[in-house]
Amino acid sequence: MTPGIVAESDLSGALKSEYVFFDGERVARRDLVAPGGVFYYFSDHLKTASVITDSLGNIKSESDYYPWGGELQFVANDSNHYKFTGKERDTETNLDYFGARYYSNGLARFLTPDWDGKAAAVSYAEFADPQSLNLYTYVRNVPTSKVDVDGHCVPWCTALAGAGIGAAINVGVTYFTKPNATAADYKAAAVNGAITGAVAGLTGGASLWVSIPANAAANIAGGIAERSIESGHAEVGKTSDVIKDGLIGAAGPALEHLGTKSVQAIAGKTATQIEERAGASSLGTRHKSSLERQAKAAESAEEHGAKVGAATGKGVEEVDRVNENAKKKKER
Amino acid sequence: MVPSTYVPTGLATYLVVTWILRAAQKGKVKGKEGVLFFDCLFFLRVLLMVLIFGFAAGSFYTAFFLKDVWFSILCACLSLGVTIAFPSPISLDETKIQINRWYAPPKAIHWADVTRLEYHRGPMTTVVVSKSGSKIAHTAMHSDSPVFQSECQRRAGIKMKTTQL
Repeated sequence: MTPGIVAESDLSGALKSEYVFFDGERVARRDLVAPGGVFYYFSDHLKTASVITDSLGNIKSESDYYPWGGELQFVANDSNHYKFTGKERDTETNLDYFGARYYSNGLARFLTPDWDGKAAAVSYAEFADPQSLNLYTYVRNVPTSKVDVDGHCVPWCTALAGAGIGAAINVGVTYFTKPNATAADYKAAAVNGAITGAVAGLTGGASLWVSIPANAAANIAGGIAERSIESGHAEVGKTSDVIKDGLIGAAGPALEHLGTKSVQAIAGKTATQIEERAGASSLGTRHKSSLERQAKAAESAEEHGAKVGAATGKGVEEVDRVNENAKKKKER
Repeated sequence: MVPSTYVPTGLATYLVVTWILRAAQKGKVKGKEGVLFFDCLFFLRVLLMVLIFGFAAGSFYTAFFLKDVWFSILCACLSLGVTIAFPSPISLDETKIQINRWYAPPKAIHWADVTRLEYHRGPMTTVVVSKSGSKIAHTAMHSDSPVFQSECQRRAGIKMKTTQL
């Protein structure tokens, strides 16, 4: 739910009520007209406020809601009109205002079809889900628990994969290092690996100040779990074991960071050397091409000079000839 | 206090898990007729399949031969967890981003409906959030994270927000 109305006024603009939101959920109301006071909203997972109390904790309004939004009131001593999923309910029509459309909780349908900013035959249609073709339905007809599966997996996918990989590594290490390992040893190793692997998958890309304490704590927890399962009762172990676990857990992100930096430094140095060589080679190439250009220019200048010289020579001859003709004319 | 045979493997686990996730991101995006496909590398797919079937087999073995119910449940949970985490291919085209999930119908978000782009640094996951609240996640197990991020920012026309976890 996006944050809704934060204040209400009368026709003259005088404020009547102010609302407080936390994480998109209406949590409190302050009435500014008599009798005034502060009221607290207690909502369910759909952000429907079922109980409203005053500042002393007395229940002023208590309701149960049907799956489609119908209200069953037990206590009704409050003026609240934000009902199903925190949307405003019109007292005359009993319709809920969802911003773009009005919803009828009696019909379990919107009064107008869904619409889209883009031209589309059926907006938001998913042909694999026929319910999406009905533009009047409310949350595809699953009003009680409509959730997004992918949304919940977002940060946990890498943790789940990490848990699997970690458990496999620990079981493998146990198989090779303990020839007489029992089922309890394998189980303990799998639990430890799952814990450390899950945290590694969740924090692998985070900053050192997040990943070092997280992985140290995970390794300590994994160690305690493993020792407890092996021994059959809760066993933290010796202080030295716990400290060792913490240090080993912290070493992972630190070593990885150092390793990455070293690789980057080596790669950077190598890249610089390659660049320098490439630069030198490119300088040589540029120098060579410059010399070639100069040589070509010199050749061209020579040719031009020869042409000019020839032309000049012809010009001189022509001038001489003209002058001679003029002299002859004078003599005549 | 019972003497423990515990072997501290936290360091190895951390290094292997992060190495696998970083190696997985080195896969290159595939393009075909203006559509970009972000899938996961073949080696990672094989590894995850081995884990899924390995833990499932372990679950049966511990249940029927060792008669250890808790060990069986642990193996089943690990198998199920890796199955859920198995990355679904994501495609980007000029109008939308789509994820083809193996467990549900394909889910698409039009670029005009994208309200938020989030990058979670810890799990190395990029999330595209629509105005209806549905999400499509490019995890550390998908290929070419930098290309995915730049393409999403360009096509949706919004900046990415980064968080630690």
